[in-house]
Amino acid sequence: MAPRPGRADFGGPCCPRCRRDLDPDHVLSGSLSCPHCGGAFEATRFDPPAPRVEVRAVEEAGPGGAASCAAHRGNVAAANCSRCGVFMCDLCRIDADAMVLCPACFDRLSAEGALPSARTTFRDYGRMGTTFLLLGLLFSVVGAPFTLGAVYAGVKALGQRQTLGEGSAVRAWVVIGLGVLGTLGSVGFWVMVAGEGAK
Amino acid sequence: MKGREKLGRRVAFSHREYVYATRDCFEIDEVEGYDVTRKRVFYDDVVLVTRHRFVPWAPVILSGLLSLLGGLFAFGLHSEVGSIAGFTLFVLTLGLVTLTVLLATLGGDSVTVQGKRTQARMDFVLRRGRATEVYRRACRLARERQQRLARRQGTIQGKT
Repeated sequence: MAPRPGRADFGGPCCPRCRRDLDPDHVLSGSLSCPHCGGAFEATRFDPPAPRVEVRAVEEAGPGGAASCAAHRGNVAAANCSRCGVFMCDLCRIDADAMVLCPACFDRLSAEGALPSARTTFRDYGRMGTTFLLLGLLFSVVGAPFTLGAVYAGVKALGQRQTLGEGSAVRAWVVIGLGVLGTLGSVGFWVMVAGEGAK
Repeated sequence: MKGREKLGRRVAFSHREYVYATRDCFEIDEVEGYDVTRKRVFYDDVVLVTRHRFVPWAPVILSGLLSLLGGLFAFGLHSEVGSIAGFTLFVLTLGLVTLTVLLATLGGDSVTVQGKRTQARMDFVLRRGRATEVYRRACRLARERQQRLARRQGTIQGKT
């Protein structure tokens, strides 16, 4: 069976109902019907302009302003890499998170997860903390492992918020606070039970 | 635009997708369990924005089954006891039947924003007004950015 075009392998304009490819030349703005499934839909078509980068050649720049790009010797350097300082032309420069980076540094920082805008996978610690907290409250006096997990996830969620600039700080703090209370309650209960047993 | 603003979501069997509007792109957060995979459709990459109607079969079947069960219980309770319990259940069942009919007749609206490599999809059940608003907004954001880009490049190539 041929793989169905889905969310993992989207390849351009397709029918929103059956997700089969549409011929871009025949897609217009207005009410349309899919040639494959016959389903009706309303569409607005866009023709995005192709990105164009203007690069000056070293010969054109004259003897005064002709530092050349490290990767393209014939191109005039337009910027320095914010990380390694290498000269680069407009073909090479990558603007990311208020930095101008060369491709090598961009790859390295992306691989290290140091560029928030380049991160594509992460863990939702906010939701994880909420789940742990609910489990901890559900298991009541034996729920300390879960409430401790909620505190851990809440702290991670706060860190994530600082790095990515998103997520709810209020939720993280509520999870941490209730997690600490739950842990103290659970531990206190068992200390009391142990004390009663010792008597 | 400050930060990012939630536009809509789509709930599938195995995962959920949340779509946000940011300064430069639509961000799609695919949530599977606690793992989030982020994709982006940049405004200057949008090639097609669509909207279509659909019937949300899963909620229709679920609420239909629940109303059937509720109806049976209400009938049983009414004939057995004939009390307030049966009447209350009957009223609740009536609400579920109304919901089923509304879902089946009005259905939902789906908005997709298709880029060159990725797409964002949002479903709006019983919220046609919101779907229209998001559809127009997506078109406006893409159009404005692409026109600005075309002006900057000196050639107006956008056709919307």
